[in-house]
Amino acid sequence: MFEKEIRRKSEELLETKTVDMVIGYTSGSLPFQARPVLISSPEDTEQLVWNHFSSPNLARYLLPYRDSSKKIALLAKGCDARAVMVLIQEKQFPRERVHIIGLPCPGMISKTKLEKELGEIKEEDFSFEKDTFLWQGKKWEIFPFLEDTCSRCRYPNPPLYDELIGEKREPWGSSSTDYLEKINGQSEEERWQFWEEEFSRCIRCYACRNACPLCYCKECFAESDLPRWVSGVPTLSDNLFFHLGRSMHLAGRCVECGACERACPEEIKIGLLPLKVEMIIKNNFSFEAGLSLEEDAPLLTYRETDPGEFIK
Amino acid sequence: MRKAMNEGLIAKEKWWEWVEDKKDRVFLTERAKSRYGKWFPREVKVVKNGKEILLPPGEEVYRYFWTGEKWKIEEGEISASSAFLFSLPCEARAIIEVTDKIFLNNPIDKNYWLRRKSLSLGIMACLQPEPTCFCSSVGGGPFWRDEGALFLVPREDDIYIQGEGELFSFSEGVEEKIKEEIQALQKKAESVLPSLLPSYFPQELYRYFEDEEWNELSWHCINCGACTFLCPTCYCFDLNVEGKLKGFQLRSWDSCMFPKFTLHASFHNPRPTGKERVRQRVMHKFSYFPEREGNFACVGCGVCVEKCPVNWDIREAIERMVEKIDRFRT
Amino acid sequence: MKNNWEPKIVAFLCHWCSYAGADLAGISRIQYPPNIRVIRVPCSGAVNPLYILKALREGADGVLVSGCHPGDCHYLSGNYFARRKFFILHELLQWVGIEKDRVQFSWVSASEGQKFSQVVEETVEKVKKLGPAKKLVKEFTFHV
Repeated sequence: MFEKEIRRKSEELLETKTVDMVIGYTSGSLPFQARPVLISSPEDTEQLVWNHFSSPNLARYLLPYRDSSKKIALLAKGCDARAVMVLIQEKQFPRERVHIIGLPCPGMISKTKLEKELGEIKEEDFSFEKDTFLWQGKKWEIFPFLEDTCSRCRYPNPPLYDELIGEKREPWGSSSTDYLEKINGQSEEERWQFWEEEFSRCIRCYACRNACPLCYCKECFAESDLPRWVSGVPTLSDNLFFHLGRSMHLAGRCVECGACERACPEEIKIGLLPLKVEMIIKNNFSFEAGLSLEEDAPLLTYRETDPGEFIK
Repeated sequence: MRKAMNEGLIAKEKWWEWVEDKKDRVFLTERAKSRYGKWFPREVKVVKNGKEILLPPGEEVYRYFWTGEKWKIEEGEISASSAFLFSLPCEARAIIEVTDKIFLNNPIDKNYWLRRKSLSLGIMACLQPEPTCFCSSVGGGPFWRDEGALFLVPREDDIYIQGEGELFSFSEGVEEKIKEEIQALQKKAESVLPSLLPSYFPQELYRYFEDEEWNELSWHCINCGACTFLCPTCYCFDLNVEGKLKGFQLRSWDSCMFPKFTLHASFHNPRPTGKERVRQRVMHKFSYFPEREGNFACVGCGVCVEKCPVNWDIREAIERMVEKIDRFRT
Repeated sequence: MKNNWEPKIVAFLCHWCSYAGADLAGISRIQYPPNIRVIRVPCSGAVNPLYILKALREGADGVLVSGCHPGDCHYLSGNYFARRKFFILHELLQWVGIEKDRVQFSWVSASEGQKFSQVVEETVEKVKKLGPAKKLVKEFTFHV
């Protein structure tokens, strides 16, 4: 699926010195996994891959190069490109130094879901197409095996790119609120029990925060000593504090890429909290992060007509 | 003088009798449960690994309060009643050959010691290593056993048990046929695992401290703490005091991947970027610790490889360094 | 025992309006429940959402944030940003399962001493109905 074009384009960009390096995916050491890779010479572009398992958010890898002068080409799925747009808006990375190779995203498949449904599987037995795959002679639909974060995606096509490789596609998710309503619609006690169970498993490894392209503070509030907000112990209250605090810090900036949820080693539905915040902002302030370079961030503006009935 | 090793077969019914009786005091690791869950009652408590019991993610070290005239300090209470932990060989080895050496040697960590002396270990043989396992490369093995722990090989209708002490009394010994069967299972399990790291690895690795290879190796690591927190041998902790006129000191897990891990009071940080921290983790496990204690501080369980969000693979790191060392070694 | 429980409510009051309003209530000898612990901030917009979470973590049964009326902020627009921020925080907390009335907000101006006392009475009444806070309160012993 477009791997050859990606490799050719990257080679071209490196040979003509349009960019100094290319950040993309290469095959991982385990089946059904891809990992981020940095390519600086044209011969190495053979290592690049692009498949249904290229799930880390690559915009995060721009952050160490904020202060350098290198020009970087980034392979960006829909959500990755949105993240780059927010980074540009927040003046964390200049537009001229990033060359976005836009890749309309086919949706990332969850290895756990494949194993659960199909049992023991080997990568060689699969043949992936855009929306289906072949296994043991039968054609399967991809949708049931997508990561939760991808099955609710509304922007698979990069909104900002210097070139596009692949065909634009329709989003899988129609409206994220359906997904949230499953938890939303329940009673307060049920919702609390759900979150209590999820966050009791959290070990506060910060994989979610480190995988997020928009968590780039030099000192995270969770690691601050003066003032000390949370202790190092992963108790339920401290875990909730961290995740609620992080969601508030991402208000109006989160691009709903779900990298946090996919990174979590305990498989906690971490991505639902920032997603809920973004839905609140979308429904009340008509703003979605990372879609336009001109719009102002919602927490930097206000309207006289903002909802205020909750204030006495 | 070594105590005589007791070995024998326990029939399924007798095993169930024994384990039902003790089920409130039995812990099972997640991996042991996924392999041998059917040998244990459902109510048995499941833990990630031995570290969760012996060195919990958070504990009170002491409490203090101001009486009006002076400070009063009370040590935290440890409730440690005797218990069993059934795990795979790698997880048991993490306790016996790594964390015990750190916390039970000079100085002895009182909290760890109280919990450890009341914890009996049961090693369940690993019949089918995962694709991420590499325990035999680092000195362990799927049938690794130790004097201080029970060793069990569950079979169809009975369990082969080897261990010292009077937990199980066996009237007859074990037939040669069964012993051969078990050896065959051992060979089969060992055959899928990668081979041993060369004995010169710890000293030679240190000579490559400044090597450029670390830049490439550490590039895509995102420096979260997932590998260190899930690792059964990683033992670093942080101490913090909370409270003002009354409060307590907490011990919690810390990770060498966190930016503040080596932050000095002068604000100098000798490990400022991910590269130094990744290098430190590999060096500690494969050079510093083995030079001091004689075995690697990694038991090859592969949990870090399985759970890393960006597929950073410690096996690749050591393979590349072995290759480099072999190329330039005279 | 339960009937004697009095909630502890942390109140973040903006210096220019709400704090002055509370002061006026005091000077006018208006009686209102003594459950609030006042923290004076320069503006309601300066209240970091983390302060509210921290208050709940440390055991506050309720939190009140009060600022100037929209249009009257001493810093011109601080309370407008506060309105947006707290709307999001309030919805998020409710969604996670924290009771709606644990965290409350109000606009009280410097001349509204009476209103301030009413706001406090209302807040205390609502929090009393909910009982002591348990959900976000910190806990420490962590034995397996």
